[in-house]
Amino acid sequence: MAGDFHTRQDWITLALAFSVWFAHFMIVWSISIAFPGMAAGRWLALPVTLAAFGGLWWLWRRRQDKTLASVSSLSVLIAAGAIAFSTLSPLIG
Amino acid sequence: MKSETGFDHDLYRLFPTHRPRPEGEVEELERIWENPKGWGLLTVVNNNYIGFFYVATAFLFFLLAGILALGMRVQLAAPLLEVLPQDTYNQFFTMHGTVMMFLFAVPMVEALGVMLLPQMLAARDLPFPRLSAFAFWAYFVGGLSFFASLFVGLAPEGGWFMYPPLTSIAFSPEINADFWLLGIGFIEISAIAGAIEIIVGVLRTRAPGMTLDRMPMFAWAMLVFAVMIIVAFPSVILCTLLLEMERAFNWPFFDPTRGGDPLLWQHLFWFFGHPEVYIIFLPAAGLMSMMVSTVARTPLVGYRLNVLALVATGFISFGVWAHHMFATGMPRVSTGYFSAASMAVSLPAGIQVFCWIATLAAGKIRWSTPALFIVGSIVVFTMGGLTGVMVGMVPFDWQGHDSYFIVAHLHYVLIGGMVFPMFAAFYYWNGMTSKNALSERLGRWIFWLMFTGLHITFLPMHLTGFMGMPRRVYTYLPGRGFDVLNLISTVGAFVLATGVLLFLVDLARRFRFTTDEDAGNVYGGGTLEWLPTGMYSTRSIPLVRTREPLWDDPDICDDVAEGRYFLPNSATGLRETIITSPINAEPQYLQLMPGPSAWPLAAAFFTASFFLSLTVQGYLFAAASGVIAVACTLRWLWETDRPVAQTTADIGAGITVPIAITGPSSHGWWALNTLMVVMGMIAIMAVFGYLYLFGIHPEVWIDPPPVPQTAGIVALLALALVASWGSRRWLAARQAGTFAGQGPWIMSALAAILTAGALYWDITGWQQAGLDPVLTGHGAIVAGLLSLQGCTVAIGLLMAAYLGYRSGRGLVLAPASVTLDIVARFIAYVAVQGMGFAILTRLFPGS
Repeated sequence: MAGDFHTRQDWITLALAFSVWFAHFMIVWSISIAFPGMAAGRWLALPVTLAAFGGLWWLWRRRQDKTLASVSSLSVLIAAGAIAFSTLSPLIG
Repeated sequence: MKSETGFDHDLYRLFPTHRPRPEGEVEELERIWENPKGWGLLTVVNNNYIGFFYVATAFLFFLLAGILALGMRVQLAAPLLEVLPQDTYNQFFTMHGTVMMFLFAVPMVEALGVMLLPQMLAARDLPFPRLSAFAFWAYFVGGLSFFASLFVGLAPEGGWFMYPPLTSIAFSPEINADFWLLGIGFIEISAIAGAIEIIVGVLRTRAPGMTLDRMPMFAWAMLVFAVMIIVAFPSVILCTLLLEMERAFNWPFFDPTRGGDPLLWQHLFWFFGHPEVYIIFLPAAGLMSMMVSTVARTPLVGYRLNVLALVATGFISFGVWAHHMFATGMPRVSTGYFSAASMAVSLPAGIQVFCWIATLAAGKIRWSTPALFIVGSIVVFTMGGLTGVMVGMVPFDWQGHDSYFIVAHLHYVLIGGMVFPMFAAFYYWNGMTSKNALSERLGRWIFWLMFTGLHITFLPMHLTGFMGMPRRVYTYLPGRGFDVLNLISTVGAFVLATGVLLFLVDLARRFRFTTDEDAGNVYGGGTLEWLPTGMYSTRSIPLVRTREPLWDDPDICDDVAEGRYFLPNSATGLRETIITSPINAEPQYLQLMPGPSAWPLAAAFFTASFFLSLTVQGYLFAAASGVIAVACTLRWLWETDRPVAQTTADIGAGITVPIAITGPSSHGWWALNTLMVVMGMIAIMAVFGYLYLFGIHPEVWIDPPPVPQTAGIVALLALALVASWGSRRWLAARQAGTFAGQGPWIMSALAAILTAGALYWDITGWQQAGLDPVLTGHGAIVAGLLSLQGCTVAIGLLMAAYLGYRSGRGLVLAPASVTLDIVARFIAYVAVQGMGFAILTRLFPGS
C-alpha cells in the first residue's frame, strides 16, 4: 500500500468516508422505521444514497495521494461498497 | 516530512547525543519514581503496578466465570439432573455472561493497555496515572461486590442482556436485577475512565518521531477500542439508568401499556452490545498483529491495510446492532440494512486475518507457545466468523435464534478472537513483568488441552442448536437426541478447564513479579517495550525512526540506557513525561505527573459503596457515601493543578519546551473533550429514546408548555454560555503569573446558577402542562431527559464551588488556569445540552 500516511488529510478522509457510510446507514434505517412496509420507505432511500455517493465523490476528488492503494482512496472505496451493498435492501427488499 | 507544530525536524539529527551524561541522573529518576512498599502499595498509581493489578483481577474474574460455566455443564451433562436448582442455574448463566463480558473481557484488554502502552510508546507513564488507579479500584471493588451477590442468592437472573419486561418490577420484584443495573452501570464508568486515559495516552504521549505510521499495531487497536468505548458505552449506561428509574419510580420507559416499549431497551442495549464484541476483538487483534510479526520474524504484511481494517471495523460495527433483533418483527427493509452491514463487517475482519496468514507465510515461524496460540486463534476465530455470516442472514437467524447454535458461534468468536490471543500475550509479554519466562513445555500442553477442549465443548453445540435445543434452559427431556451431545460438551469443558488449570500451575511455578529484573525479550520482539526499563519506563525517551526500532537499530538499547535521547533526567525534579503532537509526535511540552495517592482508592471505594447502598435501598448510607466520594475526588484533584515556578525545561540536546500548558494543545483539553463526547453520546441516545417512543406511541404525547417559556429557558442558557466564556476571557486579560481576583470564578458560578435556574423553569413548566412521569412513556422520557440535565447541572454547580474554593486560596493564576478552563467549558456544555433538550421536547412534535 502506497501513500505518505503522514498528513492530517489522509486521516480526515478516512474518518469522513466512514462517517458518510454511518450517516447514510442511520438515515436510511430511520426512514425504513418511519415508513414501515411502505413504498416511501424504499424510495426515499435512493436520494439519500445519491447524496452519500456525492459526499464520497467530493472526498475522492480532494485526496492528496491519488494512488488507488492509498489509505484515503481505499477508505472511500470501502465506504462506497458498503453503501451500495446496503442500498440493495430497499431495491430488492 | 512536513512539520505539524512548527518543530524543526533537523533537530532530530542531534540524537543520539554523544556527550557523557552527568553522574546521578539515573539515581534521581529512581528516587522520583520510587513506589511505596507494604500497605503503601495500595496508593501506587504507576502503570507497572496498576496494569499488573488490573490484569490479575481480570484473570481472576475469568476463572470465576469459568467455574460457573463448569457448574452449568455439570447440570446439563444428562437430562433431568438436579445438580443446580432452576433459579440458581439462571443466576449462573446470567453471571457467567455478565462477568465474562463486563468484568473479564473489556477490563482485560484495558488492563493490557495500561500495562503495555507506556512502554510501547516509551512514555514515562499514561497521562493521568491517578485516573488509571481510580478506574482499577472502582472496577476491583465494584466487581467483587457484584460477584458476591451470587453467594447470597441475589445475583441477577435475567440473562446478560437483561431484557425487560422479564427484568421489570412486575416479573423481577427482588433486588437481583438492581445489582446488575447499578453494578454494571458503575463498572462501565471505570471502563470509560480507562478509555479516556488510553485515547489521550496514545495520541499525546508517544515518543518523538513515532508518527501514526510508525505506531505499534496494539496502540492503533487500543486507540480504535477506546474511541468505540466512548461512543458505545454511554448507551448501556443510559439504558441501565432508564430501567433502574422504571423499577424505582415506576416511570414506564419499557411498559407498552403506558406508552413505553421494551424494544427501546433492545435498541439501546445492542447499540452497545454488538460493538462490544469488536471492542473485545480489536485490541486482541492488535496483540496478534504484533506477535505474528515476531514469531514469523518479519515485519507485518499490510500494516496500513491492517490499520484501515481496524478503523473500518470500528465504524461498521455500529451498524449491526439490530441483527440481534431480527426475530422481533422489524420492518423487512430495516432487517436488510442490518443484514448487509453484518456481512460487510466481516470484510475488514477478513483483511486482518489474511494479513496475519500472509505474514506467517512470508516469514520463518518459530513454533513457540505464542505461535501455537496465534495459529489456533486464527483457526477458531475464522470458524466463529463463518457461522457469524450465517446468522447475519435473516432467514437463517430466525431458525437459529436463541438456540445452542448461537452459544457455539459466540464462544468460537470470543475464545478465538480474544481468549487465545490473551494466552499468547501472557506468554509473549510475561518477560516484561516476571523474573522467569513461563515454561514452553507446559505451554504446549496448555495450548493443546485448550484447543481440543474448545472444539469438544462447542462443536457439538452447533448440532444441539440445529436440533432445536434452546439456550438458557436448566435441563431437557431424555430421548430428544440431546443427551450424548451434551455429555460430550461437558467432557470438553473439563478438558478446556484442565488447560487453564495447568496454566495456573505454570504461573505458580515460574511467575515472579518484578519491575526491574525481568526475563526480558524472550521471543525477540522489535518494538519499544523491550528497551531496558525501570519504574520510570526508559532512562531516556528514544527518537523513533522505524516501526521496529529494535530490529533496525542495534545500538538503540544502549543509547537509551546511556541517556542519549530525550529527557535523560528529570528536568523539573518531579515526575514528568513529554507530550507530543497527535500525528507526527513532535515534542510540544513537558507534563508534570502526580505521584502515589490514597485518594483515588478512597474515591473508588466510596463510589462503589454509594452504588451498593442504592442497590440494597440503604439511601442514607448511599447519600453519605456519595458525599465522601465527591470529597475524596476533589481532594485528589486538588494537587493535580499545581502552579510551578519553572516555565520551560531542557528535554535533551538543548531543546527547550514549555511546562504544563492549557488550551487546545494541552492533554487536559483533549481529555475534557473526550469526556464531553461521552456525555454527548448519553444525551444523543436519550434523544433517540425520546424520538423512538414518540414514533411507537404518539397517542400518549401531550401538548408542551407555551413557546415564550421555551424562549426564556433558551435565553437563560445562552446567558450561561456567555458567562462561562467571559470567565476565561477575564482571566486571560490579567497579567501573567498574577492572582486574578474573584471575578473569573464568580462568572463561572453565575453561569452554573443560570443553568440551574433554567432547569427549574423547565421542570415547573412541564408540571404546569400536566405531564406526569408515571402515567405515560412521554412523561417518563421527558422526566428522564430532565433528570439527565439535573445531574450535569449538579456537577456544574459542584465544580463552580470547587473553583471558588481554589480561587479563595489564591490558586487561580492568570493568564490561564487548568481548573478554570475545565470548569468553564463543562458549564458551557451543560448549557448547550440544556438548550438541546428544551428545544427538542418543547418544540417537537409541538402542539
